Amino acid sequence: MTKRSNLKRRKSTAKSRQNRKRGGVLSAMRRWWKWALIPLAIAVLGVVYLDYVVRSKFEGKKWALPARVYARPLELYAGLPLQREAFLEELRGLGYQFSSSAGRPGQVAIEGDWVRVHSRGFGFWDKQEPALTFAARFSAAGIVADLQDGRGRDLPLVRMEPQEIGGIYPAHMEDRLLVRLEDIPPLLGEALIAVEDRDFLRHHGISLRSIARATLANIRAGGVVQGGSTLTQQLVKNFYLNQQRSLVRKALEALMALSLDARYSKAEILETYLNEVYLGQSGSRGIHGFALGAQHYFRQPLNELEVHQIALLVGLVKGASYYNPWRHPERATARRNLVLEVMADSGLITTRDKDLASQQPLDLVKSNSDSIYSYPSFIELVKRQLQRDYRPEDLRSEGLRVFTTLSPTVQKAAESSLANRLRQLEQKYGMTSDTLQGAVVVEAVGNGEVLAVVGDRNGKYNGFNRALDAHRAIGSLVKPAVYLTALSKPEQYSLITPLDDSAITVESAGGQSWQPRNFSREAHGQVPLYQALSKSYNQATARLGTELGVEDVLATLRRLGLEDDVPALPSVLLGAVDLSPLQVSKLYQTIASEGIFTEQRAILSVLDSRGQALKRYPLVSETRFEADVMHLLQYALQATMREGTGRSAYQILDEQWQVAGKTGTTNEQRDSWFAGYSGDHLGVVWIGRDDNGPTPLTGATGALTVWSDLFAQLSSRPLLPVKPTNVEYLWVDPHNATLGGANCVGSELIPFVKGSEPRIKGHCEYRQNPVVHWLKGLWSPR
Amino acid sequence: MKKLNRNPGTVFMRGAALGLISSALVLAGCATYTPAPAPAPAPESETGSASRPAPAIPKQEPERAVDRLLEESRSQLAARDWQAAIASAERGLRINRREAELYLLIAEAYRGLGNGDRSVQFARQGLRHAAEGSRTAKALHNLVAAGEVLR
Repeated sequence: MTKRSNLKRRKSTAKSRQNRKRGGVLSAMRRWWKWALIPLAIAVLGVVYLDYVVRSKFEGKKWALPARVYARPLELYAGLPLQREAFLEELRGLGYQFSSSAGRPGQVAIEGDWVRVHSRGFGFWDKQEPALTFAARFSAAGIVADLQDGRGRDLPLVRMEPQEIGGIYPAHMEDRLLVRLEDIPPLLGEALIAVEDRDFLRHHGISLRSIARATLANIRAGGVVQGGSTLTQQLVKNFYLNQQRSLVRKALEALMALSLDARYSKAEILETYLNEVYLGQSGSRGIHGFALGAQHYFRQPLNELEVHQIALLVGLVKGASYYNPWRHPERATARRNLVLEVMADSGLITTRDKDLASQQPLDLVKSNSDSIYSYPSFIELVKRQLQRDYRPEDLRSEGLRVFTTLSPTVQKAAESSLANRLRQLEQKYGMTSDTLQGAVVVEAVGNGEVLAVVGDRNGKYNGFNRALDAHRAIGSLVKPAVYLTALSKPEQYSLITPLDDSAITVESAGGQSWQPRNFSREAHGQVPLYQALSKSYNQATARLGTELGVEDVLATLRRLGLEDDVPALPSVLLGAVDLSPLQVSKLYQTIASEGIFTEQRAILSVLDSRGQALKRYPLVSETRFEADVMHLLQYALQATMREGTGRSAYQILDEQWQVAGKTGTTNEQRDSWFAGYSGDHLGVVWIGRDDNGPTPLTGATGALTVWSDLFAQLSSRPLLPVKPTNVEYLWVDPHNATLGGANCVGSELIPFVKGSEPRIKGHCEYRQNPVVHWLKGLWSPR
Repeated sequence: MKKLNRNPGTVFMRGAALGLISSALVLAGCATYTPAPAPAPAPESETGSASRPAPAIPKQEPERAVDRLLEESRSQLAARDWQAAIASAERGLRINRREAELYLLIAEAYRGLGNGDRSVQFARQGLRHAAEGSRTAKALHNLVAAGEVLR
């Protein structure tokens, strides 16, 4: 019994042990499942999260788009002063291809005297300009003589597309031009698929066949020669992930590729890829997308690319740095030709097309011809004006299109004039190289549009911008304000009012005395007012300014456009006013525009990324001085160029070319200034040293030479002031302030505000027999 | 290039003048001869003709281009598209800043926008270039008056 009971007990114990064990396994299994569910749940959550990441970036704003900055569009019309070579240079800047027939947009052909152009269409702030075929003929004098359409009919006006001259980039410096799939040449998309992912239209984001093919190829080659990533995976890697190589990243890439493929169409994925892909580098700026790639390498829009150009761009996808066509042209050519082979094998092009394209050169623009960094001084001005109206983050990400007033031809002429002349001056005066610095500002007369800004002798230097930020004493550039103050009182002053140029001492309010001296250290006795200005006599000017009152002269300066607070000290009368070249340009714009003050503009309009106008910057101007008074001042400033301190300009300029201007030199010749204008252009030049040390230069021997070199290159009309009705020209003897005659020695034809002319007739010593003079008058043209 | 004046009065004067040549030659002995003065700054007259040597670049008025932009600006003004009318007229001023009609269009557009100050400013500038008594001058005067009321 005991045995049996013991056995029973043992059995039951074993059973219960077994039951316990079974229960333990079950419970362990239950516990294990619980633990197993956690990673599963995490995996599911991970997939959901990845899907969310994929969707949110793909459906939201995909990229931070830089603001693109454009130069002014060239407007062509019969009568425009423009050298033929300057026009061709403009076309080269726009990436036009020289051909025999100009049959496609972006092509130009030279046909005898005619330049035939097939322009590209362009969406401006006011309207869309369509692509157009036209021909222009230029006269020997540098004027557009004829402008005709493709059928030989006269065209009144053609507006060319503007050059892109810069951008305002996101912090990561990625740059791209967005393009829609329908605007991409089909051959480009097809070639890309054939070369990078021939199963693109069939797979679901990843391609096992591609992976197997790549693995086999790599085993055969004994190294990595081929990747198995699909276009979708490549897009995921570039768009969502970093460049790290790890299994985890590879797994993420595959999952996201599957998600992307499941959610979006092949067309959407391909379009994003075409805009995302990295295709090169321009300084610190990354070139992304095929549209910008086409501009970067060929300065052409995508739709103008030929087969060999498309093949090169597709080839660069594999490694834009390794196949950099400027650095490694042989590699790039071999890669391009391989792509052409694939294109022919895939039936995208014929064998003949392939052979022809393989023989083509790479057709690249010059590696340093990227205009994006060409105009840093001007772009700086644009940025400052934009910052008044836009937040910095919007400028860097919203893809704004900024249309500016820059004239690339004027800018290049200004840069070369400054650089060349500074080098010559340093040699001439035995100065160490790079001692001198300079700045140039050029504006269009009448509308305040800034055409060029040079802030350093190296026009490409992107640093201290002297045109905007170097505030230096302006010296005699202030004198027109003194004389304008006087001429605004025609009952007291005319151009021939005698001024005393003897030595002068001015007592200032603080008990200090100021004794200005002429540059020559000589006094000139009594001089007619206009000559005191044209010859820049300090003593006569100081005396006149003191008579008028410093406050009145400052008021004139403010009306001309001065915004800074300047203390009313007597030394202001001779230019103890610190201004930048840009500020000086503002004052002289009012003079050149015959008394019309005009707001300076570097920007014409800003559009959003869809081409909608956000803001226009219209012409803002107002009458600040009467036309009659300004006419007199312009006469004196023209006399400066004919017979005064600016006359050496005519060693460079055509003798018949009418211009006006004023030289400026400061104490110890620390600053050399010139401000002058023709009928179309106003230019201000400053030369000096950054340490404010003395130079051997006056305004005439320094800045004027740069200005003259520059204006000799400009296509510009001469200054032809229109005589206001309240002004009359009379022959007078300016040294005696009496009426003279055309046949009297010493008489000059001088304008007067009516009522201010001299009444007394002076002695006339005839130039020639008066009867002969009279007879000549009868036969002379009227 | 200007044409010589050929009116009958002038021809008669020239004929009569020939008779005086001999006496002129007698007087010539006592005259003082000096070179002509250096070219002085040259004004254009109100009518636009230069009274001094022609400039190196011959003047060619790009009238057709300005006419096209005037036309464009006028039709935009008629469509009450004020900003476009201003933009077109500004393009015209880049070509010829002395065309009074362009100022008139800008002044009218600013009036349309209710900006009396700007309207008056541009109308005043236009008056500098408008022929006195012309239709444009009258319209500009009216705009100055209307703008003053709007201010």
